[in-house]
Amino acid sequence: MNKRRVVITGLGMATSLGLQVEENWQKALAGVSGISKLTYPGAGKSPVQAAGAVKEADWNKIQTEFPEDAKIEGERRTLFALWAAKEALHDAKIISGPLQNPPSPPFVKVGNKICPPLKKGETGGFFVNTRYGVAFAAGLGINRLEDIQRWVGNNKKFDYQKFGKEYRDVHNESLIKNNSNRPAALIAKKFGLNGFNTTITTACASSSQAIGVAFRAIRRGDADLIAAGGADSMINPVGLVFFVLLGAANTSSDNPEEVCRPFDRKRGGLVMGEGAGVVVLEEESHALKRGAKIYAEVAGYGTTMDAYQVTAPHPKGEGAEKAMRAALSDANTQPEEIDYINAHGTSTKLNDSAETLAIKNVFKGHANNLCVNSTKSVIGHLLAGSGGPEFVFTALSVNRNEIHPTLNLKTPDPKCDLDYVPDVKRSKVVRAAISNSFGFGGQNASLVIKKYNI
Amino acid sequence: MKDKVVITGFGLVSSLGPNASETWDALLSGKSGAAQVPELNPAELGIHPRDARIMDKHAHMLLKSSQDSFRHSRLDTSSIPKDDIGFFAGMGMVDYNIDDLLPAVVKSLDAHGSLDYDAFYSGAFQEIYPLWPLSMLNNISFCQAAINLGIKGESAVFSPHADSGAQAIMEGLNTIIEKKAQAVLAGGVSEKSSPLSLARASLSGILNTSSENNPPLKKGAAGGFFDEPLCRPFGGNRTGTILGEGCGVVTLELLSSAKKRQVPYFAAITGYASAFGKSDEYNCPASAAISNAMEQALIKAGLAPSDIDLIIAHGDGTRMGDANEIEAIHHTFSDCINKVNVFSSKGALGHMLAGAPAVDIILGTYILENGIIPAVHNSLPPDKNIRFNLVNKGPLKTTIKRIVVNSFSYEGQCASLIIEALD
Repeated sequence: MNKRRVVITGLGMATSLGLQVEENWQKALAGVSGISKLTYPGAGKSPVQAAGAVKEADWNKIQTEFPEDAKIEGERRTLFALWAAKEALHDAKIISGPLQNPPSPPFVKVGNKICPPLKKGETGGFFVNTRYGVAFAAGLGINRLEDIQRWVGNNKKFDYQKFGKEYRDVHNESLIKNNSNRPAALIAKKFGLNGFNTTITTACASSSQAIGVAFRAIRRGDADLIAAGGADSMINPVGLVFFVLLGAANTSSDNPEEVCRPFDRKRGGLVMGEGAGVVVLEEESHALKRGAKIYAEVAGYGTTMDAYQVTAPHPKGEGAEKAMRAALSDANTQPEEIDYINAHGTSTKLNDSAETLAIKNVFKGHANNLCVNSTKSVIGHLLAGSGGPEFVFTALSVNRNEIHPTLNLKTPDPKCDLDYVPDVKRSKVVRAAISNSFGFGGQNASLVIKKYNI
Repeated sequence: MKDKVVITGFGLVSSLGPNASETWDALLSGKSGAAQVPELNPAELGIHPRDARIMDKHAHMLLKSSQDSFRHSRLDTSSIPKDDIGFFAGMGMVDYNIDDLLPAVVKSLDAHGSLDYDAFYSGAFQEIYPLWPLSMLNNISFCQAAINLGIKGESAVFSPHADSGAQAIMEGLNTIIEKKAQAVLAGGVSEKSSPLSLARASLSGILNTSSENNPPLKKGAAGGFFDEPLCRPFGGNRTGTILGEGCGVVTLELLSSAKKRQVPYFAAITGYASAFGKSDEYNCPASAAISNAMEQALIKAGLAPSDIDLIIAHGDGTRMGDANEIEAIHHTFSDCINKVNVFSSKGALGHMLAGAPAVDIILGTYILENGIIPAVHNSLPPDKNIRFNLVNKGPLKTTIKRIVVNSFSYEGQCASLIIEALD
């Protein structure tokens, strides 16, 4: 069976490094860190003091771009998502300038019956296309302590009566706007992507799974174009202690730029970032017909479950190994064709050694020829959103034959003995690459990106 | 001939019963399920005491339904490698139990009762159980079920509304078609009804809060909410939905695999599609998107609207959601509108959100097998605009071969699935 091919035609990002893909890329290549001292209001005593927060000026710029949404959306991730989607769709030239002039929705032939479009202009005059879709990832919404504080009764217990009477006044922002499918819905509505629409929530594997699910949907013919990726922000009080409670956060008080050190012997836990990464995936002939620029081809996707423990990855990286194998097999690609791996590389004790072992088990002798880096060393861990920017960087490496360095890798760990591209970027022909994401609970996702050859 | 994807097992938990057959019998008898699902016993489900504290009712329901489907399809005794069994689920928003965070908040209050963040960060946060964060990630409940069954194949968690349960089934279906797994478990689970989940539904405007003027909690506990309001799918007097608790999981595999394994099969899933379009004014999908999902699913199944005997509608009893679904059904099925029957389970079971599609599909297999469509609870008098045959006066005996199952998100996502009887 001749499978439809899927290519990458648009990239968009919002991270601590900036709001333009090119700016992100150049800074990452130059070894500029997006991680800095936490400036979240009132968090001076937070056990976590380093984070890859989106810069204030950039946040203001995003709010200016989407003024109506900025007024009503309570979640930063939603605006990051809109920004990155807008950038990616512009880059792919699916939208340009103000959105207008919708082509008529297609007439649909069902059996022998022709179904005309139900209502003209129902989407408010925007571009509408039912062959275009959205696959997006979002993590936890914000859980506001103020919401709970308000319901503490005189006996220091939760006062249900008070809650019942007053919930309408305070919960509007938290409870409605934190729906995990809200970013996918807003992107679809704003940009007229009225076909396939799905939201994935598999913790830190979410974005890579969203991209994988989108890839498969296009390949089998359920859509011609999908904006895929993810967004997250957990830089808020409950978010800041979230990974501290689990023992996975970096609580060092050293120079914030230097505490995220994936694959280093002194690595001490993950550093949170925030932002979004969105890519436009498109069926090859659809892209060629409209003269789109093609960054690379998505060749394969594989996902597995550890079925081991919810608190730790499999110590030998068994699930991770199988995910990479599954992705290679799905891509019909030999391990020797891979030149680069954008690792999950969280800077936690458990992940980095297990992931290294998994890579060695898949690639055997070829493992030493691979470049492996961690984007998290640069922009922090975007959690549910992490697979988005990491996929963008992987696509650029395949497209441009350059690999950004892993920052802060100073002290070698005997258990992490691959070429992690420390400190300085690498120029190298990248025929094909893998982007890895592994979620808490033991869900693993790998994507294979290849140079696009006709 | 193209190999079909068939259902070879299922597990269902609802307020009408802890399994599919009890739920079906209760549904036919007209019994109301406007109540919460009783707490399940973690020990009976084989949950390790270590994990019990981070597993809430939604996790229990997902685990039980998955175990039941696994056994029902005889995967427990099959030779299918665990690497070759996939798992896909739609899951709702995870709300914290207020009592999980309350001690940390209380300890962070200053003398005036205001939140002191210095106190919170300096130590009060440690009042939170260290593994509490895991209970907030809905994929953790999912992974606990995978661990329990030892399955290691392809997987994904979709969220949070009804469409996500259908997305899980679609992804499972395609995983089988593309031979990425020999069998998959696919389905979805509702949220656990809690003050926060009720408040969310109420604020989104989908909830029936008519009988009490507004607060979703009268008695101080979530259960109190179910006392009076009714969900009236497609009823003329409908005023909103009620939340239901429950879960459905089905086992999918190729017909050839089922035959080879000599296990019974119940129906084929032959069509699916998802589409997006949000009503400009209300929290529900636009009718065009609903039509689009149904039409694309028909095309995928190679069927004409007149081939469909029954639509198990999303029918959540909301004013505009049902109005748009009525309009969409009239549009897509205009050639055969007098013939097509429509049923919604939400009058009896409430709105299980991500749990609804798999539950509806399992009920669909009973409808195919028994040739009986249960009546839509509380739907009299029906909406005056309806031109299709809403099954509302009592169970309808008729031959049913093909069913469309609809599910929507109130953010605008729509999904349709088609199941067919096998000869």
